[in-house]
Amino acid sequence: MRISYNWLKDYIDLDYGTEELKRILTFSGIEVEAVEELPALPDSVVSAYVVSAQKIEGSDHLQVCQVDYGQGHCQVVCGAANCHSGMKVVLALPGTKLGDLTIKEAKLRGVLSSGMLCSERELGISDNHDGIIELPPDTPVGSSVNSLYALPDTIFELEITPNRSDLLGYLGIAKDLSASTNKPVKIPQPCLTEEEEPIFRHLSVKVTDSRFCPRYTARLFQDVKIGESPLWLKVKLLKSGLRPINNAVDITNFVMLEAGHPLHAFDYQCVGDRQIIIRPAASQEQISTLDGKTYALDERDLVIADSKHPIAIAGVIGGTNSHITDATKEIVLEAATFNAGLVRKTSYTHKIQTDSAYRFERHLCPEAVVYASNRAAELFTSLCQARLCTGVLDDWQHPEKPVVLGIRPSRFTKLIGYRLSDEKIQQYLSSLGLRFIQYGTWIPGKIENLEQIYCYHTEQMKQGVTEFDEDVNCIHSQYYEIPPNRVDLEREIDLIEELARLHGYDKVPRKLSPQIIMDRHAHKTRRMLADLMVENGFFEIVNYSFDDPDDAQLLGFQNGFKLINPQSSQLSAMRQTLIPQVLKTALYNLNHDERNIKLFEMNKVFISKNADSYLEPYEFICYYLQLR
Amino acid sequence: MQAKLDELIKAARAEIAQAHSPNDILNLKAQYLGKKSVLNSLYSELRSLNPEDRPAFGQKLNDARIQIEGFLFEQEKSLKLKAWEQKSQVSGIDLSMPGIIRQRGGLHPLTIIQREIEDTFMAMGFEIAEGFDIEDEFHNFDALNTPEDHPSRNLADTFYLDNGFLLRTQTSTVQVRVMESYKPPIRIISPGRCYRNDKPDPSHSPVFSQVEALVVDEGISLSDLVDTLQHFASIMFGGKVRSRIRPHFFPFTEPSAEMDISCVNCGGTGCRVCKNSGWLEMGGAGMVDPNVFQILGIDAEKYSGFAFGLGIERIAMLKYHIPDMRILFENDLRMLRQFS
Repeated sequence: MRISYNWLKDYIDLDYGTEELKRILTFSGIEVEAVEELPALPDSVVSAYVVSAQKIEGSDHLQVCQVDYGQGHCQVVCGAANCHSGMKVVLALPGTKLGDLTIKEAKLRGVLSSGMLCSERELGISDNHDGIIELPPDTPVGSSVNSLYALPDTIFELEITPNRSDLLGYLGIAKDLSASTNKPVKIPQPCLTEEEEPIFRHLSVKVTDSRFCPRYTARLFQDVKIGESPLWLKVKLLKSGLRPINNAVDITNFVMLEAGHPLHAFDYQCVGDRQIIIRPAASQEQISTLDGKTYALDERDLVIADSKHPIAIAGVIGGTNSHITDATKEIVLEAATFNAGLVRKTSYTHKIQTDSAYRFERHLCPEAVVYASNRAAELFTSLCQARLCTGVLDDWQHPEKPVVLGIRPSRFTKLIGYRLSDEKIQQYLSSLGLRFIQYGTWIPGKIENLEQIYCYHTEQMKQGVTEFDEDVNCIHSQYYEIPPNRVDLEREIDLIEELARLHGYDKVPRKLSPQIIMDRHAHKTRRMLADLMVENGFFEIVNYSFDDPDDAQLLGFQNGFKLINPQSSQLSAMRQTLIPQVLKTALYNLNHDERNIKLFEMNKVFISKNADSYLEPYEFICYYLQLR
Repeated sequence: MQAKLDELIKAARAEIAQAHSPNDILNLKAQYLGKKSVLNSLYSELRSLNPEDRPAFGQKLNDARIQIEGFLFEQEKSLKLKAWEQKSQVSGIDLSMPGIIRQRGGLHPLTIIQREIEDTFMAMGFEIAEGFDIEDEFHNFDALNTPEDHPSRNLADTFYLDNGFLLRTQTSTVQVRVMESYKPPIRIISPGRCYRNDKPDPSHSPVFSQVEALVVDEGISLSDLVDTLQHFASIMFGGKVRSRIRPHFFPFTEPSAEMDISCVNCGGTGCRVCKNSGWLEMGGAGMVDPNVFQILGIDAEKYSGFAFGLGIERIAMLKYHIPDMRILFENDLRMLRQFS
């Protein structure tokens, strides 16, 4: 998901640098896959007015334009098909650097061109290079393009884990950042003006099976003026990777990006018999969709249909038979939730990947449709001058009871490794939109009936915390109501994860494992050496650590350690070399009629350095005798 | 019947001579000697004969069997030889050239056991710490909470050196050395030699080896010791071996214990090896005495630990059925070759 930093700032005051915000996102569990910087444009890129545009003789597409850019005039040769006199454009004056491109004065077909009229791609805003940018007619000439396009900006490419359907829009991201940074979040509150005309006179909605479509709402707009969206809206869509189409479609896309809940707009005139029916498709039922393809559906696909034909594949894509055109006057706005598995299957079977399916297949909650619908309604009335009919058609069979879960602070400590105070836990969970209900003793699982909880007051709790911690059946707990959009919070452990994530994995204390003491290299070397000898036919021997001092003397060793109480004079000195014993062992085996003697010993010897210091190095001696 | 048998042998000889692959040999083997073979059916006819005729005919059947087996063996051998000759002709390598015989040597049984013990404990996350054989009285006795007048300090028990040092009487000295240099958590074993003034006999040696284990951390209890001991016994002697601890006394552990494992020879029913007790003594163990912690400046309220020592010679003798400890130090190649 592409997130524009500037747009995100509409909902939460963030003053972090790119790297810092990236770190914060990453450590709150939202992976940043890529960061794209959109740099500010140079001052030599300005809004301008095309005074005249004339074809150059001998060229099929080049035009010579006289351009007014406030501080002066210039002549520019432009090859774009949509270039015409009277339009407002983005002009880059000579000397401007745009990425790798430097604008220079040049002659094209003998005509002097001092500047360039820019496309979106040349400004780095999108990949669009079909034509030059046409700014709204009321744009003042000679003004900075940066403010029009909210530049500079940073685009964060986010990877949303499949469990977090609440993060599929700017508001969700802002709320989560608010919880981890403790900054307030600003949620736009839609303000609606409904006309007197009631919707039910014009439209009906029917859901055939609420398992497939838990909730379906529709609003009706009349006197809609379809046209281009204002620049601010287009810019927001462009930066998020969507193409502006017309104001009605752009509004539904905008709300999808903002609130995370996809919407769909139908042309009311195309809804046959003024009925909307949400039903499984009939076998081999066909629909042509906005991606220019035609699909043959079956009973496993859910469709939005009028009295006769499907007009959209539910949650996936709209049909061409009902889409918004320039001629559209009345619009039906759909805000609904569909079965996630069903949407996933349809999207997979027919290989249709849309932003809408991406969101619906991650379990959106029925409660969220109202906000999305209202927010879009507000924009329809203001941007399309639409008149909003009174009322919402709302098919919602089974409003679900809110989930209530308990969490034991002691359990958090046990699992995560540090304590969080009761207050801190409340602060974090409340910032995620969970509603604190009360303290109480522990009951596992979802709480069906609040009266089951043995509750007590804060003061009582403070005095008795340890007492509560001791008794298994009487563990101090907090109880919360889970907001409906957090479908992923189902168990105590899910709450513990949220707390650990928000407080920061970097705060987890390291539990020390035993110290590293061993000299692994020496250990390995000794083993390898012994193995090498064995492979080559040598047998390892072991001898006592003390020996006959006379033998050592014969080999020139002096000053060894002597035992005060030896068992015999032959065992009265700590050995300084293994040689005498290895030789004695060889002799012993020779006397036992061995003819091929290959021996080695690897053991400590004892070297005295001075009166009170000594060394105990390992010595390694091999012996090889072969008699014929 | 006799005629039938002769015919059978004749047919077998002819057909086996025709075999030209190892597969043919296997098939013929099944055909003439297998369950459904004629020969086998003749065996069941034995019952219908007069009791006095049975031994003679039985003998004939066996002879026939041996004869057919011989045909099969000879044919197989000649086939193999042929294949080999063919191969050496094709490759141009003289396959009959004798190779160089490389005789493997062997590690000493004590080393083999020590390595097994080291590997077992390393897999449990233990580090190996090195100690000194020559020690002072502080590390061998004082720091281990041994009273001044304790009998083990006698010349009759401990070897002393002319410069005032002594030869350590147990590997517990490493406990002290490690706790002097490292802060908990600690998890070590230390294999090494110990010395006691015992005359060599079947179960004593003035030089012997021990493995010391020491674990110090927060929350270590006797139950960790019991678990480690059982884990070790299972890996060393097999999964069926049981272990137990029983009360004992050592100056440097409190509570102290002796560790036993169920007899690896009789499985616990009682035999000569375990002196009919069903149990074998493995060594001493216990929780590190708070006094030892105090001497070494470790907070005995915060940390606890266990330690134990195992005799390597004893384990080697049990595993390899070595009756006399002195054999281990003789280094007789006739003994060592058995561990090649």
